Amino acid sequence: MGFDVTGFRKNFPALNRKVCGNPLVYFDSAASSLTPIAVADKIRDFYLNNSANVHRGIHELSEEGTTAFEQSRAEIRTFVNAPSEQSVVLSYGCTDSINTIVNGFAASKLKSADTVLIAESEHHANIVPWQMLQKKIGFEIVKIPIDEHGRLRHEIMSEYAGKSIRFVCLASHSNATGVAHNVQEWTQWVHKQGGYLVLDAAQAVSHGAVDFKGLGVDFLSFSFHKMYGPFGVGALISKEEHLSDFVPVRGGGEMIDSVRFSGTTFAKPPQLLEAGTPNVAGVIGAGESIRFIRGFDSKELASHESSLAKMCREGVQSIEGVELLGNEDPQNAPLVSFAVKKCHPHDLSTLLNGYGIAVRAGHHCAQPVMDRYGFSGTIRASFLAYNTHDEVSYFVEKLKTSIKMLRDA
Amino acid sequence: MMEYSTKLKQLARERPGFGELLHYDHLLDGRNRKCGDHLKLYIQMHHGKLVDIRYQGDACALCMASASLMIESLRGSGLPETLKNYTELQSVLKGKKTTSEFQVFSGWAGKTMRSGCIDLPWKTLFQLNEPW
Ligand SMILES: Cc1ncc(COP(=O)(O)O)c(C=O)c1O
Repeated sequence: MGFDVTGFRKNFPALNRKVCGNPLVYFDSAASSLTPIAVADKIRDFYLNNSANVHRGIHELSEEGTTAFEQSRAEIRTFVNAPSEQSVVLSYGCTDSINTIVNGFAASKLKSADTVLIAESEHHANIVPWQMLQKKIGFEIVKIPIDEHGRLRHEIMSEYAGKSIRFVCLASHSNATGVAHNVQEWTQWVHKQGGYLVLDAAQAVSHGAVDFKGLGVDFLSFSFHKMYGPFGVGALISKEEHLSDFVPVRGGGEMIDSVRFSGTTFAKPPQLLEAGTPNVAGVIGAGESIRFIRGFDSKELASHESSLAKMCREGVQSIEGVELLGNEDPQNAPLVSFAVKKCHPHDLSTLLNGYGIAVRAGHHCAQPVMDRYGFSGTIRASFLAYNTHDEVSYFVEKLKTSIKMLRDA
Repeated sequence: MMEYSTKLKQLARERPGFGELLHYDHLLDGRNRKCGDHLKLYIQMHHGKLVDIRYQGDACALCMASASLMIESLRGSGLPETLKNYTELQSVLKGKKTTSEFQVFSGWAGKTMRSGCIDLPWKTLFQLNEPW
């Protein structure tokens, strides 16, 4: 039997909502996924029946909370095949994780003569922290250009081989084009140069297994709000051998060994990098989102999602004046990003909203990608397993109507 | 309801005030950081009075329509009237009924993102740090 999308949808009450009098068609999961009942219940239960702070507390509530909190860390470790629980640093999201890698690890490794390669297709989260550090240290940032189909160009490998490449920063899938990059190839190359690979897996985690050890990358970051989990929680996974090279980026409680006015000694990672009270309910909810995903066959979910993207791409492609980003590789993130001649993405998105359809319009925090293709922004329709083929047909039909309305204006 | 009225569509089609000024005293750049839209305002002044103003840019229909209406409202007005007009627009975006031209934007009252599109031409204009 195939994937039971009707049953799956029952986990998401938001799908029963109406928007502008029409059933909600939620095609913005690449920004944030909808939340299943199980995750919301878990968070609600923690707030209503516990709500105590974790770690250090001796009483039962704190014990219970700590156990659930640390259990989430263990779930994350298995979910992404991290080497150990110590290598799982809990953060406030993907952006936060990348900032910790940059300021807690890269800052002490980089010198002014070094080079950092960043894919042109990166989200601002994997560009800006590096630029901020560059201002302090003065190394060179070079972009890895993308071709007309959104693929990384390899010329730079030969051009920069043997130079002082310290970091390659890459998303497994571009959030603006959906294109999947060959992470292993870049990892092997940067290791040969004596550098590190920083992988942004924000767009990967909701669509199938991410195998940290298998990929061989040095660092990995992601957020839970894109994978059926809560806002304000993410993770940074580090190779074990790099953990002792981290310096703290935020100081405070939780991350110390002992504090005296004469001096402070620090805890070891992951606590070293987790200063202050964490988002306890969020972390517990994040663990639940992993359990939720694991309740389904990940291959079935992914194949349903990519069939939606394929159908949408074909439907959108047939419309005159549409320019699609990316390519048709089934490994890509299930999203379709496109510009339409003479129709601004904001106007289209507003009209689509009138039909109950939620898509994202704009630069998707990836302005270099927009510049590369000469658009100020695109419409992005992105899918998760709760979407249906009927929704895609409806979207394509209403997109045609909206384009006609704007063109006839 | 967010609605592209006939008047709005007409503005988007005809774009009054759209274009470049060859001779200008000020060139102001406006950018909506949330979406990347941008506008340029060309302003020609004479003896402290605003003589001509045009806009160019890559922005949505709302932003372009707002720029056109702003330019129409500016012709022959000084700073105090301009500020008054801007207050009128703000009232419309807060959901108040007015008799002004800006009423075409009433459907977007309370919509933060799209209000930003409508606001951009004015934000750009107010970068001009001299009265007129
Ligand atoms: C590829 C990619 N990287 C990073 C981020 C940033 O994630 P967050 O805002 O949750 O920190 C996103 C979110 O849109 C993303 O798509």
